[in-house]
Amino acid sequence: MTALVVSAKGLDDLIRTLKDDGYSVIGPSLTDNAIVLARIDSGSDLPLGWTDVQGPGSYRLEKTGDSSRFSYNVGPTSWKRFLHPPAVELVRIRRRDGTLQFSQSDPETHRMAFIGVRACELAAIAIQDEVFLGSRTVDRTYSARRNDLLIVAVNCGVAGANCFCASMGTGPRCMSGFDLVVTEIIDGDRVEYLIESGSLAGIELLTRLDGRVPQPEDKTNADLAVTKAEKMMGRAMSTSGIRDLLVNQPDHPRWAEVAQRCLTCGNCTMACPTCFCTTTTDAVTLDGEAIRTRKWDSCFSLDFSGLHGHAVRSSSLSRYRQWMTHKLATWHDQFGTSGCVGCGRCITWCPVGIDIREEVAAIGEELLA
Amino acid sequence: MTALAPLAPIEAMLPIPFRVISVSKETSDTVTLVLEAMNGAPTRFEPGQFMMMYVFGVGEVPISISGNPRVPRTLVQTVRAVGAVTNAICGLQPPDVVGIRGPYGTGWPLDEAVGRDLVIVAGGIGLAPLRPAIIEALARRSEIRNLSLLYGARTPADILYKDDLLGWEASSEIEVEVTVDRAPSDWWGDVGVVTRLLPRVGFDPPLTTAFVCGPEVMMRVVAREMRDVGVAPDRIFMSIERNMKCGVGFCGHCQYGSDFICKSGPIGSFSAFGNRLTVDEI
Amino acid sequence: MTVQELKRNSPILRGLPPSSASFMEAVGRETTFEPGSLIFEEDGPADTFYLVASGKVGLEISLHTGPPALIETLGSGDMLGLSWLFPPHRWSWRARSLTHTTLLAFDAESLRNRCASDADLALHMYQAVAAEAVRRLHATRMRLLDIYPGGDE
Repeated sequence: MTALVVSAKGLDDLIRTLKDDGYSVIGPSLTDNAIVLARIDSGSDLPLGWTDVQGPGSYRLEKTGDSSRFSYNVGPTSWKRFLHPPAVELVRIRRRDGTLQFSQSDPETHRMAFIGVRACELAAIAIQDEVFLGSRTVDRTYSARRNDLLIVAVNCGVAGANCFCASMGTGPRCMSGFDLVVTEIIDGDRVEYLIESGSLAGIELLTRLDGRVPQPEDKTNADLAVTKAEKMMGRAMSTSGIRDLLVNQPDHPRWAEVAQRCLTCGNCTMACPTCFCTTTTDAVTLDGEAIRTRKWDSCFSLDFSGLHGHAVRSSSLSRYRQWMTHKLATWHDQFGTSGCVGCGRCITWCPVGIDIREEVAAIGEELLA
Repeated sequence: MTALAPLAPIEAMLPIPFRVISVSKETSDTVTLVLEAMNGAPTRFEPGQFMMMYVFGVGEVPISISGNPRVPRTLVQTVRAVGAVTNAICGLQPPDVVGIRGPYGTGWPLDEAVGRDLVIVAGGIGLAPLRPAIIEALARRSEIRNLSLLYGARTPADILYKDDLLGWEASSEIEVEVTVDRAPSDWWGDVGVVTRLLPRVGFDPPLTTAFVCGPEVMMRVVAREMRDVGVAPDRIFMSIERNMKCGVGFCGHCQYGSDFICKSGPIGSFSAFGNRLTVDEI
Repeated sequence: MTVQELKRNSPILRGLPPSSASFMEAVGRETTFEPGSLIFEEDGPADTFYLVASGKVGLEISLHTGPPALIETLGSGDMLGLSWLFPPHRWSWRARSLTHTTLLAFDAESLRNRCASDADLALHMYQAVAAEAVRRLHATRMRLLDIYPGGDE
């Protein structure tokens, strides 16, 4: 691993270098009073001096009073928006010469660089890699976008009340799955960035940046920042025996209780960085071409389980149970890991503030009682 | 950061055009289509697998394959009109063209019946995905001991493949029993639930394999009765139906506990589906 | 199956103590019906206990204004009629042979009288008939579900 310590200007240089190399650079930026992931052009697009305060069903930005650029956690968007976009055209169909002509729509080629990917999000990307690339059939869109991807990760220096990556074993320290990883070191007014490589592409990029050689105290300060985040983390998720706990208790009274609160709006599935379900829609253009489009779908919608004119999962109980059981239990059987990375988005963006950690604890406690 | 290199990107979502060669009406709301790939390619499949069938501008639905697996030149599919797409399919006429991709899913494990008795139990339109298994079992008749088909339908007018049934009934290769829930006075077959027919056909429970397809409640009751007389639960196979959009495990719609029915199903054993069979709205 | 096979295989005749078995052997008689012939009528005296050896029997009920409704069919190995064991010993349904049918018939009054003094036989009969009644109740409930979609109605 090679490493470099740079100033805020070095961060700006990195973004410019990536743009020069033809990358579309995506990173956190301030939009509509939230920190969202969007295309950025320079280091000045990064949220300077902002943090987010998150709770169940609540999200608010506050000034930090310093010049940090990464002193917040995850917002409403996740990287799946760019690797597994909300709408993807699949096929165009024309009626011609007494037959149907099917033409596969080519995935848009985006050479993307992600800046500011958190440890939980690296885990989420690894999970979607398994979903879309891990079996015999490979998803074309995901594969095309994923293959040219460059990832600049960021170690978290703070953690919010809804963060529980530590209990899911995914963070807050970025361990693998990145080309570069940045740790923000804040010392009073002075902010510096320790950038470490995680791949050959990362090493090559570091040679093109100006900075100084890291000193032992830089490493110590970086470690301290991540340790601080770990200590700030909110309530833990209890994951022991969780697969059997959920799969074996479809009739647990807590499902009915949470169904009283759940609005089945599907926000959690949209915000979740690993939820991957889609539906396919059909449209016919005025000149007679049919277009099939794949769109994000949610297991909270009634249509999702529609079979011969009725829904298999008509109750909100069954739909909440499906989502949580899939995420935390059957995902292990399907893909070998949990489907949850502990980012806390489903808690923050739930309009009624349902906390998945609390629901798991309630189902677990009943068993012990 | 390069992800796992794709082994072989499969053109999973691209249908190929098939022409409707003939349409025959099975019942008031069900038709059987015979189709041919317009590129002349054979359609190979295992009994029990399904295709995704696309109708121009309307949409795509999973339909089980009902033809003879040894005649890959044509694709035979039986469709009941229940929604927008299946209604459009039931209105097709030669020389209309549809899009087909597949086959997908698991098949009826005929090899599990070799050297054993095979009892095939169908309910309603559940006979459609079993028809290729019956045809294949008859083609491999010498490998199987007793072979029987029990079929339950709502009324005589709802019975599929009447000509096949009469032909099978006339042959000595397979025992056939047909029963309906309600019948006019001129009905020649049985009246009653399909499980009442089980004692009528010859099978030796410890040496029996069963294929069951029909409404979930019917499959469950049949499987339990067979288990109770001594058929091993891992030798009782059934086909579970769920909503499917993609057929390759990406869309998530067909989840049934840990299974993606489009990939690890639709066919599985009574023991593998296990407790899920009595969980409401799973 | 033949009447002899039926005697060997029928759960209700198997496993009887020797004295009861020889009684059943003595009172059982073979009887045949041509297609379409009436075996018993609704509300008639339930004076015979039947087991179907071969053929097919339809249980019907008169709808009075049209052809009768066919409720259930019985075949080889099935009990035909349960009412002979329970007061007031009257049939609830009409039974008609739908094919050439061979039945094994037992005089119900002799059987009931024997049961009054032969506790082993009585227990065996009541258990066998009750078990069949439970099976038919389950089957009837399944039909109430009307599980097969579609239809002409």
